[in-house]
Amino acid sequence: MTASSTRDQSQHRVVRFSRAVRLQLWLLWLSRRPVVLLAAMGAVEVLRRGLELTLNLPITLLVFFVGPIWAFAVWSGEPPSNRSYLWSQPASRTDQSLARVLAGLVWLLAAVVVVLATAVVTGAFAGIWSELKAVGFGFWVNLLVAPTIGYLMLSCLTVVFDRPGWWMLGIILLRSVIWNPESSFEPLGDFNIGHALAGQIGRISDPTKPGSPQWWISWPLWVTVLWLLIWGLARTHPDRLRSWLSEVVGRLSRT
Amino acid sequence: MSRDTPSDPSIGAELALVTRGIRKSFGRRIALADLDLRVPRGAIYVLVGPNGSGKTTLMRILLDVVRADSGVATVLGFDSVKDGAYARAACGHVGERRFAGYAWMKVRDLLAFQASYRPTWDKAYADALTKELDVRDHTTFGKLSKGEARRLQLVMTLAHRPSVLLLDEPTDGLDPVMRDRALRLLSRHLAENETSVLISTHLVSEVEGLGDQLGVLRDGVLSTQIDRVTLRTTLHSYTITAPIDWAGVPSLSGRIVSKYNGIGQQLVWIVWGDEREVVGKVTATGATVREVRQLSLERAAVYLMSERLDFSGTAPTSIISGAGGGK
Repeated sequence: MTASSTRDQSQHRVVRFSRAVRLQLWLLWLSRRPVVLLAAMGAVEVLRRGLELTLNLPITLLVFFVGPIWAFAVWSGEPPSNRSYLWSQPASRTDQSLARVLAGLVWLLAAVVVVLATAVVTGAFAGIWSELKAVGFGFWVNLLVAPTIGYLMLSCLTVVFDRPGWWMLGIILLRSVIWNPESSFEPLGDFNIGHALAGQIGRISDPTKPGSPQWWISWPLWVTVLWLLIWGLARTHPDRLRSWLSEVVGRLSRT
Repeated sequence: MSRDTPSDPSIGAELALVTRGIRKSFGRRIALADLDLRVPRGAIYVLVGPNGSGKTTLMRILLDVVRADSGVATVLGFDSVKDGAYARAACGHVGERRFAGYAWMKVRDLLAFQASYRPTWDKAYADALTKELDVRDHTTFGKLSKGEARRLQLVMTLAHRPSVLLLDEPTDGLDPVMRDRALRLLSRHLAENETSVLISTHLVSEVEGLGDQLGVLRDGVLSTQIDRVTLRTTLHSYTITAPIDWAGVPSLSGRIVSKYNGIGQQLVWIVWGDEREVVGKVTATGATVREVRQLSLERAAVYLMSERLDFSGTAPTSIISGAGGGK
């Protein structure tokens, strides 16, 4: 076998999904974004209540919001129109996108676990160990499920759109108009759209009743559906999606 | 990902890059129109064209970074869409964009990241290239000047010794000294490694000694695709002295690429065709051919780029020796 043919064969080797995930984990680590995430979550907790575990809604809200924000951070500076470096690598584009989303999720959950562990330890020192033991297993799982769902929901947009923030606002407003037209602009009127958004996401994973049988069915279902959606969107080339969307908009404007 | 053998091995054996009927529009603007490109294996194909003629889009389609509206593109027989990862595995790409990587990354980290994607990455070669092209590897990629970023791109592209090189304005932003060094390095690389190259450049003189195929892209249409030998033997500059009221040479209609006035009564025509046949047809009309000159690759590219041609099927618009790529 000649050197040239050996080179040819090794050049036909592509990066598989598992390796792509490892590379994306490394890439995010090099970007220092997981450290910033951890520092930001820690800072918010410290500023809010001091180093103490709180078992009420605010900490749940924190982890709800962390997921969507992190979904933006994971693709920061790399919208689909500027992913040519990533996509010119010898790996399937779908694998690359899924690998990035999965790597982001791993870092997100790691950061949440570190913050929660710190809160538990400091809470135990603060003498609320009995309260910690009293909350159910579902509560703890929910603190991981909630950011996961928020993260995956926004990842559906960040994977395919250059301006996911605008798409998110558009979808929220559209949903409000279709399902609840009489009160759709109330959150804007009283500057309370953030709370309204939290309510929307909260209802999906049902944070009020973590651990209930319905909850154990609903969240794995949501996570599965969202992963399938991300997979489907990642498979679609942005150029195809763009032409499909402009076709749809064209038809709508004609009718 | 389905396989690691080309979807069309017969194409891959002879031709490194092939496109068939590639069409791409951005909104209402047609970037590429039914483009049929054929780059033989081992060839150095120089692609020229005015700005916005579709050169960058074509390279991005070959990598499936941009998806064509219709048509097929293959790299060493691998379909760019169906087997995109394998097509990209065979390619090294110097893109038009300044930052082919992450602006926040240290240069050494970017090189390591690139290496981890490429099984054929040659660390010793990468180090040598980094040194030779004077790339500072302790700085952040985003802080590099345009020329430095371009040099780093060359290192990232050449260090894994790809079978196919897609070079989009590879010397853009380099100062004359670095440009010369980069070209010598590229020339040495091509001599040492069996590589097929598609290179787009506005400075054809730079690759005069390297290029053995020429493609001219105008408004998304590949108006000429020809190998260098055929170009040398069929496209010439004729200096003609014509009598008063000379009616021209109707029999050369469709073969004249360019016409302009020379010194005094002299005319200079750039014409496709067999030299003796053209001279015969000109002299038959009463004019005298004073001089026939071969054109350099650069001059040929300039004439072919600047004129709107109507060959009427008589000119060799798509001739590639040994590739069976006649249109």
